[in-house]
Amino acid sequence: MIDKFIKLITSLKLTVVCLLCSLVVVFFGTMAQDPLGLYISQERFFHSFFIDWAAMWASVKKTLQMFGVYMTPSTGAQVLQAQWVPVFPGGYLLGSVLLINLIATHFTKFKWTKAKSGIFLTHAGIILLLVGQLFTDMFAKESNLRLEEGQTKNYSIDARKNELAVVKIGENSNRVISIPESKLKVGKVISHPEMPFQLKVTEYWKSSDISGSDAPGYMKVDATQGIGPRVYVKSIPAATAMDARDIPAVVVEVLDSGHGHGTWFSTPSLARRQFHHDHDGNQWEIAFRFKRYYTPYSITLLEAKHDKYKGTEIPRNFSSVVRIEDSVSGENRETKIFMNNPLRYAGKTYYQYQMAAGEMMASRGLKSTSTLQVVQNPSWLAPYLGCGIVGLGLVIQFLIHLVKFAKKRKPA
Amino acid sequence: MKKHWPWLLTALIALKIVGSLVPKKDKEGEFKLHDFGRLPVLLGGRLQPIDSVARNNLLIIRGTTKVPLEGNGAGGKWGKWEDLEGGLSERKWYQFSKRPKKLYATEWLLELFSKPSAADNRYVFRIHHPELLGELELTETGVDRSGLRYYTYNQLRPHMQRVETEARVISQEKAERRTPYQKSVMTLVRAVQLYERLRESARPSMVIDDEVKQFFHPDPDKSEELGIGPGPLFSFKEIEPVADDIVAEHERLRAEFGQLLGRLEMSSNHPQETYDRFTTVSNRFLVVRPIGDKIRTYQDVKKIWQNDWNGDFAKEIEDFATLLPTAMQALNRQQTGQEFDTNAAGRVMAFASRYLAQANQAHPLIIPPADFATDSDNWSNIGKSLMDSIRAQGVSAPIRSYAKIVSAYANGDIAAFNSAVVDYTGLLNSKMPNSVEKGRSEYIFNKFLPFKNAMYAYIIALLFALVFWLRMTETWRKASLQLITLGVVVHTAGLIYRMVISGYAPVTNLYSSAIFVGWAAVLLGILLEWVFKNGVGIVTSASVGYTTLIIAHHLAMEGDTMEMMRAVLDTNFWLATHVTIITIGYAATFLAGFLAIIYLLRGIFTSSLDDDTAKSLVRMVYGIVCFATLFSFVGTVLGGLWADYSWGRFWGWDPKENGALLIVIWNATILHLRWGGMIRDRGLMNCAIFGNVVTAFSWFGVNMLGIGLHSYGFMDAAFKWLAIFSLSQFALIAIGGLPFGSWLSVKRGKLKPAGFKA
Repeated sequence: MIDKFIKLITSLKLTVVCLLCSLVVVFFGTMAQDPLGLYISQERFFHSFFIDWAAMWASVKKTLQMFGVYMTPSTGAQVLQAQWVPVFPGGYLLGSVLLINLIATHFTKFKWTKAKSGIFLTHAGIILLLVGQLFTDMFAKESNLRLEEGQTKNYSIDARKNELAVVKIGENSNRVISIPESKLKVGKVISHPEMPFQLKVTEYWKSSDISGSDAPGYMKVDATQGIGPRVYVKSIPAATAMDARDIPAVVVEVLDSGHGHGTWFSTPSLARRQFHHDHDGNQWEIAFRFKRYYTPYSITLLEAKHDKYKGTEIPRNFSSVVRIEDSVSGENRETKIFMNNPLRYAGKTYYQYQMAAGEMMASRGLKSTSTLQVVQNPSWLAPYLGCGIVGLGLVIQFLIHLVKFAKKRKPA
Repeated sequence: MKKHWPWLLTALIALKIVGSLVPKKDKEGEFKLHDFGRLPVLLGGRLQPIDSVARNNLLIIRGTTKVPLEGNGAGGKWGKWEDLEGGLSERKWYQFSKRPKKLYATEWLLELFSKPSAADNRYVFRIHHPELLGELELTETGVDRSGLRYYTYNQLRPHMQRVETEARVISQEKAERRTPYQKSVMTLVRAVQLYERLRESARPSMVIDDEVKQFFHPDPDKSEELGIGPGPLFSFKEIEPVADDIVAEHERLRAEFGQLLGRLEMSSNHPQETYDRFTTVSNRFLVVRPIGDKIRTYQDVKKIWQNDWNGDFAKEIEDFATLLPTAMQALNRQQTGQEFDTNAAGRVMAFASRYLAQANQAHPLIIPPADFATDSDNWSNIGKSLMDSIRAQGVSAPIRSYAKIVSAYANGDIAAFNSAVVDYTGLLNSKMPNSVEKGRSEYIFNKFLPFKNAMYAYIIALLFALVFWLRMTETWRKASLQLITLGVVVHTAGLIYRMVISGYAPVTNLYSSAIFVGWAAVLLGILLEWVFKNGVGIVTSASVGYTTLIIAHHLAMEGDTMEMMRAVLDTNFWLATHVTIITIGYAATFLAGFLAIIYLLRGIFTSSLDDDTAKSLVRMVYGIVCFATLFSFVGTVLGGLWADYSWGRFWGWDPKENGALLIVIWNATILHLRWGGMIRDRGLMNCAIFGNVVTAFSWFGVNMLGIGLHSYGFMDAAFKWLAIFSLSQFALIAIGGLPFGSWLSVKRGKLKPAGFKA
């Protein structure tokens, strides 16, 4: 039995089947990006153990459409709401099986010989690449840092996650309690040891749009305090575009020693309108906002520049001059971040991402802004190493073949 | 002699190609068109000769680089278009004796610059969608060339308003969702807009816009009846008085104009509103003045302007230059409330209004920076330069030169034209010699046509190689190999020349990737031929080389192929490593697929596939697949590293990344199938052919999705070709699956496939 199992997981046939399946997954995962957007297709095809029917069908329809068979394209919302029926192995499953297959084969079948050294290296490198990618998926954090010229920030904003932030205002520094969005379920009471009061979620929208009037489809919010009485909310389908994100909204009630202290409305698009609660002489600020990652250093945008080629709209370069001030290490310096030239600092990498600068902004009396992409990826070196090893392995193997081939031909 | 003819032939063709590199001289006593074509201008962010501007734009508008002036008319008559009647068509391919006169690109652009009314009667606009032709009722007119039809600007003009309205609706639809009809509407509108911009690029045209027309009643007699003249000023768009007193309005407009001009003078960056207001005020001023002088109809105004503006451009510029000091003095006096020369102020306003309109419209930046050396990037179009002249109170030498060139050409004055071109070249040469050199070297490249020449060498070589297969005489094989070698030398020279001119690594866009794929495949094929000497290498080299260059030729229709790279791509390090290596991977995968096709076709349909040939083909395909795996893998991962380096993520499942990954996975699959004994020779061949489909999808298909960070490689149509190509490959695989018993080579006993028992 065990023998049979080992034979199966170390078989070359399994390798080939996995490779063929991944060919299918990559192809349909690519086609799905047109109707579903990058994020959903990634989640459904590559970051999953099984691909569900709805996502696969959306992709098949797109493929048929390219060959002239037109069917109404599926939308992201339809796929998210559809019953989950697995139809094909997904990226994680194939990757794991391939990984097990590779490792197992090397332990059982492979003998290190000079003739196979190239293949050995190649496989070792591929293992490193696969594991590195898995680590990246698990541990890498992506966030944005949007700055106006002259503005300083010591935090960046997560591109997808939101948090209910409860901030205790101190004399010199604030204390932030972050409640993840996943905890916000209607009817749930949230408490925290450092929080002398509780918060009860009375309403929650996963993806919303707000308005100041009762336009069609907008509902009045059931909140008594702050902006609550003046806000109308509409529940909208999940965003599918590449750079778009869902804007949720929530209504919470503050419960202090059993007494209700009013209901409040909050949404990340109006995060500056945080609400206040006083308890025992301490001031608290509460806001539903994009998740923040604080850093022990701050970054100031000194200059944002968008160069174009003369006489065209073709962008030539985007660059941001920033100042880093680190109270811990005492570092205080200016540096320039531009395309293909990121800043690596304290385990994070800052990339030039978006920009609104130049005459267009100036003529409207607006300040130039620059958005930096902030990536924290502890395994960022893995692909560099993996690539090097695989490349070396393939070259060695290729040369071995070539030499053998040349020797064989000589006598003839 | 019998043995040496291949050498002679190769030498002859080589001589012809080298001949194209010799600098072209203009003949005595004719327009120095070559010298004009070499003049540098800035377009698309890069310095290029006028010849390139002309070629690329004529390609976009007409799809060719020449405009034929003669052809067939009704009743089999041959002659100039204007002398023929009805049913016009270009020279047919079998009319060997006819050599129609043609307008070369540079000449066409020069005519458009200087004699717009003549240019408007040239057949330059290409329409081929039957539905669009029907809707515009154009099926009876125009010139036909095997289904394509060409029209003049004047023929299209009456329909453009309708087409433009339609285009505005279509432009709200995503490009990849448009129907072929909608696409051809957009193409036409873009071509006409481009044409109109080019036409205004040297001399300004007359501006009569709706702003002006509204003051005239459409019916001239009616205007008279309504008593237009001194008195109130009417807007007949709404039929209501807009000013009580024409003379007072005249004064008021002039005052506002002076203020606006003062504001424009102070700096060069203004909100669009200032410019718009300036245009409105000056146009209205232009119409109020004639009305004040008792001119009644729109036709009358037009006539005055034609006298004023359709004259000699060089003279107009001289007038303008002479007027500037007095006019500026007048305007300054007026602003400070002093007595001023109303006539001078009014006249400069008329000029300024036209030049401002031109500044918004003119396309290539033909005027070099005022302080030549210091700010070498700061070229501007002629309208903008003329506006700057008002500020500088003097007209610069380059403007005067262009005015002379354009006027002389319009008047047919060869001596004046030539001396103006020579003077201007001399001026540039003394101030910015690099720009002149840039124009000159790209001009040589334009005449060299290395990829076209290489293409011809490959196609002749392919014919020779096929003859070799039929007759098996070594001479034919050698002839073919020599021609391919010549082709690849020219191809390489072209690649290097192009790199030097553009300053980028060889692959920067789809066009150059096609050229590079061909180049790499030809080199690999020559290598195979060198090792195996059985004609397989030359057939593949020649056919893949020829096909990819044909593809490149069609991709070049989109305009300038040496455009500047967008910010993130503006890095030669990654262009040279990632892009080049992955493109070699594409080339190798195609080559393996092509070799496999030869194997199948020869095995099934001929008896020429003997055991030795089959074995060597298997070895070739296997070797090339190994090579392709190496290059596509390294190329893909390098792409990942670039992405990590510039976007912060190694892998983002972007369509282009996935396309590259598909090639890697497929090549790896083939190798594993082979190692595991799951496929034998025939399986290997069929798998290699499927590699063609995978590569074609990754190369072109993902661009057609038009999504993702890589979508700068976006291309519109051509999907049909991709589908046809894929289907043909599937058909080949199906044929390859036929039982061995039906293979001709097996039937005749030449081939004993492994595992097949007769």
